[in-house]
Amino acid sequence: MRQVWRVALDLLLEASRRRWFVALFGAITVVLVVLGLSLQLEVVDGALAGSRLFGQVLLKDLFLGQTVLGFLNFAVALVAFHGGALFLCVACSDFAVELLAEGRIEHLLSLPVARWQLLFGTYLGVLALAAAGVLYGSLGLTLLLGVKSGLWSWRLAQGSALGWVGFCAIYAAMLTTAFFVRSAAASAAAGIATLVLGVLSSNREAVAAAIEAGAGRWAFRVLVMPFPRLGDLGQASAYLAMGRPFDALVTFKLALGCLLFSGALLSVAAWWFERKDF
Amino acid sequence: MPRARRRWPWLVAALALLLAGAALMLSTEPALPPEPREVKLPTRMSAAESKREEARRTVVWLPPRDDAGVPTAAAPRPSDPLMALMPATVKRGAVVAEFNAIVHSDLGQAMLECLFGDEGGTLGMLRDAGLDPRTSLDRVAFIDGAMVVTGSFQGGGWTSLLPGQPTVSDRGPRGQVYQWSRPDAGTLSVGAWGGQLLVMGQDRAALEATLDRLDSPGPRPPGVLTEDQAYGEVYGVLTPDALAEVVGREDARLGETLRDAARSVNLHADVSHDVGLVADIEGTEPGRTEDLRRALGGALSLGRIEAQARGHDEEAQLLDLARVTRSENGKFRLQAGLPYEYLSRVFKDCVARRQAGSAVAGADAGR
Repeated sequence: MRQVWRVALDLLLEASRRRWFVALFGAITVVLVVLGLSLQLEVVDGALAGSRLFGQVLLKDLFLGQTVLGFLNFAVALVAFHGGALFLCVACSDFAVELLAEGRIEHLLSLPVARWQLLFGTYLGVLALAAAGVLYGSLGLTLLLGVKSGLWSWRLAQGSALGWVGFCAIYAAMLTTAFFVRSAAASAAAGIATLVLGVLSSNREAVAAAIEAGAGRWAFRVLVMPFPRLGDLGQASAYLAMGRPFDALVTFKLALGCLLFSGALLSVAAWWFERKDF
Repeated sequence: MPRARRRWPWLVAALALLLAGAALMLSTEPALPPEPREVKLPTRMSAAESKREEARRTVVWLPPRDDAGVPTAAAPRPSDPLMALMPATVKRGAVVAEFNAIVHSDLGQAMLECLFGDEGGTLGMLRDAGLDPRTSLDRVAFIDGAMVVTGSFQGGGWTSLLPGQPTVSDRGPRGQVYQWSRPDAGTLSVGAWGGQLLVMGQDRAALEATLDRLDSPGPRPPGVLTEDQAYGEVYGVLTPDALAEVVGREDARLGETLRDAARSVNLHADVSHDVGLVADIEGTEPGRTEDLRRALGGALSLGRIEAQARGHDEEAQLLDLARVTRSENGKFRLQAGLPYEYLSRVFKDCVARRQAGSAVAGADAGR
């Protein structure tokens, strides 16, 4: 296992050398700046101001500020979950492909590291990079909303943790694709397809109702059933950000399901990697 | 020699993890209701129905004759009296229910209790008049405003169901017209034919014309319903206006499309266990028929999706059994089904409501 962490650390060092951190964090900063300049928070701000003013007199109005912020967090978390996943699909699509590029892969294989350790190390390295990006983005948004509204809540950062779990499954699909087809575009497409199929999987029965009963509907259900319930996970992330009660056990199972799905895809990638000649 | 790397455990691990993940995520979802069974649909006449229809051909037509009274052709085939009195056109529709077959079906007892209550109510009154719905009634037909009942009406005991004494006059060799005076100075006429058929809901002139169709020489021109269409437990034809009126209550635009694009609607329903409905819809022209077919298909799909979105799983499953087939020769078919379990529950609820209503009425009367 130590070797896996070493590969992951090596990837992070390599990312630092290649200025991937700068590119990723720069892109997130641009998104935050655009949001900060363009978000119309007057309505929210007005409600919050009213709450603060009358909250001193009426206790029930104290609740209003948190409620308004909760709804805002809900919307932001939902957009960030899906938008963030799409952004990371594109931003991280090149990492594995670059690491598998001719010259570097031969060098890595010459080291006393098993192939599966290279694979899992790469996966963990990129996920660590993504975790840093998610943390930076969520803290940036928390800061942005906190400064604008005057109310501070860390729930957005907590909710974004579930977004990162969802990205674990997405990146497993991207990395596996990169091992089969050494293409950043194909890797990004696989990530986006996993996101779409994950949302479909959460809404399986509603979509199945639109398909005529029979082989077609059965095939649809079987196809999307193994995919992680990214729609449900996104909703849980939004509820967590909003402060609304949600079923922690169900959310835990959904998160664990994401990780098992990731493990399954990485096992396929390992099977392929073990038989491939370079 | 380097040791060969074993690769298959990775695939086994992948499969195990995938299945474990799917099972774990499925455990967070509510259990799906079981898929509904396929419902038997009446699409053609069965051998038993053909035999039944043959036995009903009791109207013997006289052969056409010349002026000297000599037959000019062989006597036409005998007819089913109910089919023989069908008019050539209808304003709203003609629908026949095989009452006896329905009350002896799996749902019959529950349906009888829902319709007539327990033994002491309407059912007892009908029995006292010699009209046991289980044995005396065969078919009930609605032809525009008229109701025709076939069965065993020998002895005229059924007249005791109506207040007062009727005047009876013969109409043709086998027909009679019974007429009651009503308190509002009007009259109520009921036609009887051969002790096996009663006609109600028409004025005297229309009633006599109906009975004349059964006793006049020579076969009549074919009616809106013929013997070869008598299959299923409910069958008939509806005019687009009649159907549009029903559909239009739920979806006004669909009702309007139906009125414009459909020429006739032929219905058959099987209620022997589940209820399977087949409606053959003939359009006014191919283009409009296709539009109508798509509109109906779209309405069904939309209804199904709406029901699913609202969490009405049973309603969604029932709509799942409804299908619209491709159109051919300006016609298309709409199929729908109601499973036995669903109908059984509906009738049980109906009986429970009826019993609750009786209990409340009894308590009110006791005060």
